Amino acid sequence: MGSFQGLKEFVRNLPKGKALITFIATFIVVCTISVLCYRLTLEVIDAGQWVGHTHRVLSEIHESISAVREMEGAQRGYIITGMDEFAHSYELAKEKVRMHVRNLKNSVVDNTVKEHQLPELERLIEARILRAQETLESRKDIGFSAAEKQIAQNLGAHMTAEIKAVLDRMEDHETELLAARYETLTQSTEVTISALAILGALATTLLCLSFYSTNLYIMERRRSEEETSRYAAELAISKARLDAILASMGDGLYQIDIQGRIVFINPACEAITGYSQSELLGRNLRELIADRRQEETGSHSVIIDPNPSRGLFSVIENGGTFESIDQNFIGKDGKLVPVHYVSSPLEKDGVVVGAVVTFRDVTMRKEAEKRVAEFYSTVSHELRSPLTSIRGALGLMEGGKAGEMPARATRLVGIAKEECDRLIRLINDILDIRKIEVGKLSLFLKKEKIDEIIAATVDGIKPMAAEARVKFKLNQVDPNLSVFCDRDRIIQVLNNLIGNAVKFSSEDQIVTISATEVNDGASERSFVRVEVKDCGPGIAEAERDKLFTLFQQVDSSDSRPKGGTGLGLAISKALVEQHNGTIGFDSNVGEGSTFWFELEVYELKKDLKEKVAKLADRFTEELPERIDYLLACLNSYEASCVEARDNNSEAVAELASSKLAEARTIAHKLSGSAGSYGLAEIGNIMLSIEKKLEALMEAFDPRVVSELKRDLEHSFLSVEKRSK
Amino acid sequence: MALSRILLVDDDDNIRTIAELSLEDDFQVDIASSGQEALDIAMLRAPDLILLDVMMPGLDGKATFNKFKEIPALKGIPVVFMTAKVLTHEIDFYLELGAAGVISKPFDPMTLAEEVQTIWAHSRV
Repeated sequence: MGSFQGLKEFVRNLPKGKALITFIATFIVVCTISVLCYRLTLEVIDAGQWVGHTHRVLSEIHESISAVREMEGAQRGYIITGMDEFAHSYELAKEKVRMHVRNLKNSVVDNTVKEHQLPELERLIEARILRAQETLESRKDIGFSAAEKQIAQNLGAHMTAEIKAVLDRMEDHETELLAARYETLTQSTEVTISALAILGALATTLLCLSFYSTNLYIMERRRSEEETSRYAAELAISKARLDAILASMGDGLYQIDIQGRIVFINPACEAITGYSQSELLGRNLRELIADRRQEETGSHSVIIDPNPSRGLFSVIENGGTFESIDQNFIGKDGKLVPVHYVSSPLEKDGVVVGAVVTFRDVTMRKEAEKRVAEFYSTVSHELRSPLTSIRGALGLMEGGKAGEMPARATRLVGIAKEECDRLIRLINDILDIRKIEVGKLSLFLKKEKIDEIIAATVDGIKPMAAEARVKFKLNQVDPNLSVFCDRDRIIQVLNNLIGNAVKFSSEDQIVTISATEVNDGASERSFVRVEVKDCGPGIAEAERDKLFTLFQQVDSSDSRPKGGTGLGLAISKALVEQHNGTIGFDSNVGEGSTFWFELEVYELKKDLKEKVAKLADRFTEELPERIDYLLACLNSYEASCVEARDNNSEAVAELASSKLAEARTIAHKLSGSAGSYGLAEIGNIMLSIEKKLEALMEAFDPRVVSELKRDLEHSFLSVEKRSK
Repeated sequence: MALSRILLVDDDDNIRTIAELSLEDDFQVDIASSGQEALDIAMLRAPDLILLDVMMPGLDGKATFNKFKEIPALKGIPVVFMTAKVLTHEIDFYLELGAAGVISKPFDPMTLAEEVQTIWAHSRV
């Protein structure tokens, strides 16, 4: 296994790309060169061996001839001298001849030509030896003359000549072979040399190429290693930077996985929640979001949310970001931390793997807001109380309750009363502006008929108009024309506009009020346009820009005190814009002005219908959960009530009523929400439940609870019916 | 039965005086300066209608109202709240609590009696 791993490692580390190709090519060429060289060398060696062989054969042929001559010489010497040394020499020469012929025979076994010649040669040689033997025996046994006679027959010489002739033929043949073999040798050598030269050159080139590409490969490797290490260094720096940022950022941070389990936190998170890292990691964030929060509009009421983490987790399924400014996170020991948090989905390779939640402890801000709200509440109360007295006292004086007053005093009291009214309006306006500025001005939207709103406003302003001797002209308004608005606020706007028109009109001038439906071609939406037209002095060009800003009053040519606060138009603008409407004016100096505002017509358009239906569905979906909670509150109330009765415990009784208060708050919210989603039946049930809860709070009677539970079950049935 | 006896509850002496002056020509007016005092006087004098200020230290208007409803003898007396908060939804809130009516502050002293009379008549229907 180890060696297999080693092999894998080796294969992985092999050069890649061009370097590998060059290496393989070089390897193949070198192998080819080696094989070729081997083959060529073998050929040369073979050719050389054959040349050597031919030389040996030739030498044997020459040796054979000289051995035959030597034998003849020894024979003659013996015949002439009869000395034994020659006989001995003859014997030696004879053996020598035989040996050479044998050698020849061995050398040419493969040569068919010589194989044919060799038997003849052997026969001739043996015949010659026999002849010489006979001659030598004649000299030995009979004497010189007999031998001389035999020699004189010249048979021996003749035979020798034949032998020589055979040997010469063999030599010729061999010489021819030699020439041919030399030729082969030369050719082979030349081919080998050329091939070696070419292959050598090729090998050198490939070697160079191989070296070059290896070098390239090494350089590339080095560069990529350098890049990798530089990247690693950069990564380390950026990680250190991110760690430092996460560690030193003041906002807390939770990273959660898709189930909501906490996988990462930063030190600020520990500081804010009081939990340590080990206590938080692995826990589900759902457990750490409180189900109660302060209601935005009311200062002290508490909303119970049965599913407080819904928004935070919605980003995992739906994407986008979710922001909340009024929820509490649960810190260590159950401490509630008011937070402003933002939850965003965390993506990896395009897949959502969880979410990142950054949050800020807003305890101090909430406290400051509370202090400011209390301050405003106190100030407004403290200012209004004496003003109520002053206004009342002046009213009574003016009305003669304090006895008859001289005409001058009556006039002075009238001025004081007017200014008092103005001061009261100013305080109301300042409080409105304050609410608008901090975004705390809530609208209570309902479907309202615009003709009723106009009538109510005009009714309220008639005394003022009568005093200024200004007349109203109300154009006919379609009684079906409705807007979705906060009645009080739109009356306030219209009151400001009509009030201004009256103030800037002279005696017997007419203020015309009309409302028409206008269509916006671009957005295909319909608006109600309410116009208040006066015949006053109009607004000078220079004044127009600052008309809707705070504390601005238009200089009027007649310099009559207008009794305004300078806030009316600014507030009207803010109010209309909060209704998603627009406000403006057209004016010609000397001819009068027309102030107008537009609000969207209350009409359930198709998309709006769908939207409401969708919201209603969601509301219906969540309803059982909330009703469950209501029931839980009631059960807890019931238990506490019984216990409080039995033990006569005030603390338990208080607990019971706090549970009931929670239940009531929920029922109140539900009845309101159901109404705005058009779920009339559920809304009505909730309203009746709410009222019963209220009664229950007064009566403190556990018997009423069973009645309530029955109602709740009934509402459950309604929800079920609706869902079907 | 005509409206004759009114209990006026407000912690502000001056407002109380003004209101008393506004009403005394038409009705018998008892006054109380706190919620607790209102309960005591109401038990003694059995008023036909109670004018109750909302913002008071200690037992505020709402709490006083709840106390009235706990006491069987006082339960049926119509209560009219007086408050500076006069937006429609706030009026609705008090009416839903069971109030007979809401009068906004600052009130017009010359028409206060008339207003109270109207609310009273309405509450009898």
